[in-house]
Amino acid sequence: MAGGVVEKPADPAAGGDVYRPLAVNYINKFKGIGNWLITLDHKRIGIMYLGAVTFALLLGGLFAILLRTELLFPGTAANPEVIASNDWYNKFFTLHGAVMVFLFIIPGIPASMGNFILPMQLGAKDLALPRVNLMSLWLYWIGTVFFIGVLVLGGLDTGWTLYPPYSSGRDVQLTLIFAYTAVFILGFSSILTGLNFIVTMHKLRPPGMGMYDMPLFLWALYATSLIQVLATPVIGITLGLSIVEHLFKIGIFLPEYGGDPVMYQHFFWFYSHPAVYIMVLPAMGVQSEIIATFSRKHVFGYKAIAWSSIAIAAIGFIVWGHHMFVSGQSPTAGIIFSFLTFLVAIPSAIKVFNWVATLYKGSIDLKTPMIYGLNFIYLFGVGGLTGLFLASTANNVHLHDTYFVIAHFHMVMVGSVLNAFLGGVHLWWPKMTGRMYSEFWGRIAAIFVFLGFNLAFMPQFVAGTRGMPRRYANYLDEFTIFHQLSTIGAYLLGLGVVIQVTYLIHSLFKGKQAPPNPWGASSLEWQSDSPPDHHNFTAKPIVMGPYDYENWEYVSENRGWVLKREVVETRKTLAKADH
Amino acid sequence: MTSVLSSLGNALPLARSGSYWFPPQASDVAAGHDFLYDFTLWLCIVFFVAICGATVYFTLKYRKRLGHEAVRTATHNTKLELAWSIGPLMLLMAIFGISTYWYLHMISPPKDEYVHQIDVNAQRWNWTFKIKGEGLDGTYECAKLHLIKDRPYQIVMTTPDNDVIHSLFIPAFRLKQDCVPGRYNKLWFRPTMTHDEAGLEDGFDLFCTEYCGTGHSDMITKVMVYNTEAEWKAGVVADGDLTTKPALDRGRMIYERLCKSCHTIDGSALIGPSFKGLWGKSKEMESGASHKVDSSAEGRTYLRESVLTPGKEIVKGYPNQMTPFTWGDKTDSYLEGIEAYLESLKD
Repeated sequence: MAGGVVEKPADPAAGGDVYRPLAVNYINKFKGIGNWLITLDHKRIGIMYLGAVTFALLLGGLFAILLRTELLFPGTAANPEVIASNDWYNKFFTLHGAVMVFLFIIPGIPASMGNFILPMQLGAKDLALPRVNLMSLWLYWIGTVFFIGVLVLGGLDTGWTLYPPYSSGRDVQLTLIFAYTAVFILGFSSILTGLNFIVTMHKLRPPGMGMYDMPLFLWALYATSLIQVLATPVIGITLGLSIVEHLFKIGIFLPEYGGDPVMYQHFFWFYSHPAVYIMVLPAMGVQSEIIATFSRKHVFGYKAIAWSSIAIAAIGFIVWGHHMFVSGQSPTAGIIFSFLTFLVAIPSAIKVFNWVATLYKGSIDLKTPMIYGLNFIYLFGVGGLTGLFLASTANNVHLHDTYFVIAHFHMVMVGSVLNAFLGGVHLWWPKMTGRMYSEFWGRIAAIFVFLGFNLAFMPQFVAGTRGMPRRYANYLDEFTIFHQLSTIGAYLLGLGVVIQVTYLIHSLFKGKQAPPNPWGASSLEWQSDSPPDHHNFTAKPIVMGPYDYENWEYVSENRGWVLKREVVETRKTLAKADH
Repeated sequence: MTSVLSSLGNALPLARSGSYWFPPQASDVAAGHDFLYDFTLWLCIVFFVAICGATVYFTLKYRKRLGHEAVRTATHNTKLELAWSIGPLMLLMAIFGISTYWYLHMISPPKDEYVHQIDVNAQRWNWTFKIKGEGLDGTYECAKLHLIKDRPYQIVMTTPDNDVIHSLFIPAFRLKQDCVPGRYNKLWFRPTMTHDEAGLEDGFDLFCTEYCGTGHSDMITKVMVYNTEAEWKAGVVADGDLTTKPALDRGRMIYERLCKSCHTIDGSALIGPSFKGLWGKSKEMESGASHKVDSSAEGRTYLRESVLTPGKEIVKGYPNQMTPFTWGDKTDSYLEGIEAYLESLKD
């Protein structure tokens, strides 16, 4: 019996009303770590990515807790230490940023959930290029090893942006070479994943599924992949140029050889601004799935959401200069970049309006993923709207490099990416592991994350407008209250994440067996077993719209949602007529 | 458009002593900046309340419960979607317009009056403001920025080639500009309030806002704005002319200004060796040679080289990171001060 499809009427007397998971699934089909390491199965690769990015999230989070603790008290030039010296503080924030950006946020959703879910949402057996997929995972690991090398060798204090001449102008540290290498290798991992996704979405859609019949998560991944393939090479080129500059003393970025440090900033943000959308777009995709599923409504404005992803990807390439309004860049360029930045706000706004409109007349079920979905609307609302202040040249001159910027991009990055990541993990946890997590603890943790997050970052907006510069190990007394509130918020947020890790791991051993479709979602992955077969589907999934929730009916907690009989019958008749 | 905005700017309620969000408005662009901020803020609040209000309302009204089913509504509505795309776009263009108006003001110094120039040199981790002008016999190198109210100033800034990027930020002026090695960046402003009027006896804050390493968060100084030229002159001379002070005071002030971020006086090592107990003790160098600072000819030569060409001999175990200092005709006087100060720190 294939997943959620009822092929014969259930007979309670014969025990037919109980969902029996597959005896052999993708997790237990092959045994041994060796088998995992060389697997071509997109699901196993997705799970390994999920483990790796979660590790990165916790590591980056640990650095965040350390740096927030250092900022509990002002510190002075004479007595700078709360828990660490200025130099250690500088390493904390550099490593927090670098680990979070390069190891968690950029690969996070596409590599873990994208890998696992994308082929299943297409009803396919795997990605189009499974070996390339394995290679991408290995590159990610090699990159991570280099990052661990940076930690072991004493850390790095350049900031994640690696601006010269601070980073590369003086005696070059070994850890900087390691960081360059890590970013370079991780870039290739990212490019290969993006390439694989594009090919898969073009070549492996089942008959009857056009581009407009794909779940919006896939449209988001498509737009993301385009950026990964087109923008990531630029960061590789930039780091390459920097190395060439050192080896041959050719002036590119360093003034001492006749180069220009602002040029590095152009190169860097030409990648790193689109990279912001590499981070956000998949999160928006997960968000579309969550909002639709838990409102039991067709997403409002499907095409608008789909094309706004592409529009964001396209405009996102031409706004990088807004990171450099006060760098000495020409003011004319500044005004043009400001204008373009305002344009990119529109497609993001369209998505938010469409999500809210999707809720209208739905049946809204506040399961854990949906709480993250609502958090997303709120936090992304704050993050997106505060972007308008920063897009204005006149306000940006004051706010640039203050805590206002810190608060803004954490609202966007964490508000959207972390929320969608956690929401997506809960949404697909039953599918990936075959276990249900504790709904009670799920909701508690979601509320902790929400409250902690607001307390951590709302005060930073005010500190920022009042002039608190970023990357300060010590600060003036007048900012103390904002920093202390923020630190307490960070602890709460940390507690939320710890609760989460605890009950999710607990659910692996003690969680209830998950039905194939616990949420009544309609994209194709829910027609597989939980956890799925090695080949994903034991019978050909019935292709239908990703938001046709009317096709499903709720049977019981144990069976979850199953396809209505008439839907199955109609499709069978249609299929026969075709032959 | 321009004149409307300009009169708007003048008619703004002056939150001169500072608001919930901002420090006092002490330059002639501050009011415009704050107006733009408030304008954007209120637009954002309207949209935010609408979005979150609708979300909460729908969540409560259409919550899952017995007897309630989702209703299939339209999957799209072109008119509605166009309206909520084009409407916000117009508002964004309004923000862009106001922003650009004020930005043009921020980057265009007045053409019809004399603009006083101050050169700024930023280096790890201190600021040097080279101030000259009527009533001053030459250029004074000050640790604080001294200005006269209502005069336009043009700051021309740079940082040495072997240093790193810094950024000059005066929150009360709402202005900021990076100091980039190999470039001369500029920034003009007109202070409209003295630090006394703002109730800030020590002056307005001036921060470094481009990350520059260990002492980044201590690279803070003050902006002093005076009513009269006489007050200003007194401030500049007291700050900038160390040569008139007794040698020991001179040395201490130079230390506070230029040395403190890397050298302690309590015996602990920072970037460079501590000054405590340095006097008269031989130290081994990376080159293998040995040097000490004292009042002998050799000791003074070593001290001079350590300040003017610090990369020449490096004390063993410390990085070669110090920026060379150039003091022109004040060199001898300053070295004399440093020597007196070091002697006062001997064990």
